[in-house]
Amino acid sequence: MSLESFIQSLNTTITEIAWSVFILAWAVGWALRGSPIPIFRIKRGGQDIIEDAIIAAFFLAIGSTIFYFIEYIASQV
Amino acid sequence: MWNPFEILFYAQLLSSLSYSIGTLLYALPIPVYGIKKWGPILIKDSIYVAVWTLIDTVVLSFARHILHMLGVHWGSYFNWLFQVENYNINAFLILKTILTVASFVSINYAPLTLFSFLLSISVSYFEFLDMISLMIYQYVGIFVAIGILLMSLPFRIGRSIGASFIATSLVFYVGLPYLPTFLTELDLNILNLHIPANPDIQFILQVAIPEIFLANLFMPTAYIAILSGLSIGLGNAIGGYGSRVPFMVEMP
Repeated sequence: MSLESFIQSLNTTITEIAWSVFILAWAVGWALRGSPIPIFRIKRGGQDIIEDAIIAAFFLAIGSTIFYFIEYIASQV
Repeated sequence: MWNPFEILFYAQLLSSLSYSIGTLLYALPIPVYGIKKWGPILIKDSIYVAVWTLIDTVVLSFARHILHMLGVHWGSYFNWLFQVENYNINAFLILKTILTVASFVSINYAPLTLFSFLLSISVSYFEFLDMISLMIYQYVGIFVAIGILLMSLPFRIGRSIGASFIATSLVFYVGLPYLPTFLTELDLNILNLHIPANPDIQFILQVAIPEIFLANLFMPTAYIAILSGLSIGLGNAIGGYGSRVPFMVEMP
């Protein structure tokens, strides 16, 4: 396995893990936010987790597209 | 031989890797600030490095443009270095001959011994300068690419060393050929030193030895120190806290 394909496979694995973690964070966030516990801090923490997860998903979608595009062009040249 | 564009390709791959690690940490549902703060930092760093890989050739041609604006050329710089080396070697040989002759007549020629000592140090110093210049001149592209590769390592492992690689190679690439002009403007160019036809001992003590010391050793060293200071400043500008992407990554 060359260094290039090693970094690329590592990148793919981490991107997959990041998408799974996003879904997990989404579920955990909503669970905390919707939980019937009258402690504001826990609900607030749930909301923070949801917000972070949405921003992370946005960056993941945009970034992986752009980086894949750049790498595709760079490997063709 | 390494190709700078291959190194830049690996830098691009690594910055993409640190981008995905950044988003992974951003999405992590663990409310620990110490871990989560790395998310935006990694995303920002990877965008910054991606921009550097794109503008690499632009930066190099900008450096060449500055060289052109200063009106200096690497070719004439190397020419000057060889001429100074030649001058020093010739002066050293002449002095050595005088000293050898003088040792038979047993006159005290102590200042001349100091003179020849300075000249022999100057010769090796200029050899060293020649080597450094050749290295910078031939490998500036590779040094900049290696700097970008080091900057692209995740978690800011090689950020400061990468930035100083880029800054040092750029500053020395632009600054070193200016050395002859710098010395000439201070009236310390050794090639412009006028030695009278019959130099007496007073002239050697009061003019020639100080001038040879200043022009061959002290001022070039001072100039390299100035360039090092500039490259430390540029390195901080590239890799320090001033280097940010011009938009917000983390949302309030």
